[in-house]
Amino acid sequence: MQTRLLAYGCSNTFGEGLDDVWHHDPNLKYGSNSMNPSRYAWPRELGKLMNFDEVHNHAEGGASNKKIWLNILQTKIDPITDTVVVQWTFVARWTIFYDDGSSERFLPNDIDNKEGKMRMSKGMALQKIKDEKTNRTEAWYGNFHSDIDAILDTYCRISHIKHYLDNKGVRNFHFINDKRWAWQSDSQLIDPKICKCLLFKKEHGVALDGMHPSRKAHKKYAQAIYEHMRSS
Amino acid sequence: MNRLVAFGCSHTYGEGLKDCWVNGKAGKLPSKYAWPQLLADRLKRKCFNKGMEGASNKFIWHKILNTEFADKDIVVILWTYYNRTCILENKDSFQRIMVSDVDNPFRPEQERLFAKNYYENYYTDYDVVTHSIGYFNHIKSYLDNLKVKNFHLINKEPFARHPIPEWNQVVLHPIDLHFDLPLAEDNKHPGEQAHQLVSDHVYSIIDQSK
Repeated sequence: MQTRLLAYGCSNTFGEGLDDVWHHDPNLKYGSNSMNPSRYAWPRELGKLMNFDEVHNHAEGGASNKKIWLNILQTKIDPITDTVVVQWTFVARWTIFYDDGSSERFLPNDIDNKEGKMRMSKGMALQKIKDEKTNRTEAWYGNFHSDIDAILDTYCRISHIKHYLDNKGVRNFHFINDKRWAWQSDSQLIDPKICKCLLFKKEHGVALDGMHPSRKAHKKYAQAIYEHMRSS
Repeated sequence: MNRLVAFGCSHTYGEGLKDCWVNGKAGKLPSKYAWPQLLADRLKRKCFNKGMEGASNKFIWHKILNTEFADKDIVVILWTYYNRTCILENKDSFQRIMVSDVDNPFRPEQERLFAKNYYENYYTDYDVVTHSIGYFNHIKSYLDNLKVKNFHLINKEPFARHPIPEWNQVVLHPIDLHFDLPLAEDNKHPGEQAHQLVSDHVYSIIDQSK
């Protein structure tokens, strides 16, 4: 029986910008990422440290916690062979699910990044954000977003997934790569032991895209997850 | 005395019933003719009716997370229409979003435009149903974890219109709110007879779970 590590998260789990997924076109300002996740991203490194037979990286660039939540719920998971590790993302991100199964992402970066209008997402890092989408995102954050709402929503997603996987008898571990989690989350609502705030360290450098964590940072991140999993 | 703690929208609060309809508005206290009180009487429990008119499933979810429960409580939730939502601003304040607010001349213009913007630009059926089922599941696991007995009811009309995802782990009991029977005094909400039938139905659900 093959043991599997199932990893979920955003571009920081996908490994965007790493050597094997980043394609830079010198004629263009930015590069793009392949459709498949990087073998240098933390899930594969963790898989090696823990001797998993297979590593399935289900991460998606630009994913919100709501999207990560649904991605997990829509995966067939086997309690005998599978271990789930989730790297939850920035709480301010949002997704709307459409009736045809597609989804639309909302990222504060899409408003702020006016210079480049660069959309970093799986396989389409170069897509220019149309003004219409920038305005739509701006209107979303201006009208329908509040910090407390976003934090509580993330709490709901993490807590539900934890119970959902526990009920199925699946080993599951939760980390979040958003420092706001540490100081804004309500310890009465979520046990900090359930979801550890674990950040990439800046001193380990950035990937080829100049934005995402480097290979070294991913390796160190995998090591930190491994140590946490062993101690718990 | 052990408690029955009920959550929901105006259909739980009892809006429009004879003791909960004052000058064209819901009364300040929930109705003693609403299903939670009728059910609590039958179960010989003290009733805590936490229903609120205009509540969305998100609001109900948040209200439950901010309620203290005791070991022997029975919690019954009559989840509401999927298409409502709200933006939580802090522990005690929120902005409701209801489809009926869009054209409601009694709501301030700003609220009407706010709701219109949401429904025209950001609303999808699949999104709100997925959200709601997520809240139901989270609350079930939350209350199970507290070892508080919990029952989940849903108005049978929206329930029938949308498929339930495979990942759902909550037993949802579709409830007929009997709009075919005489309505309450506001001519909008279920009347006394309907509340009695809902109470009887929920009693049988609780009884069968023993």
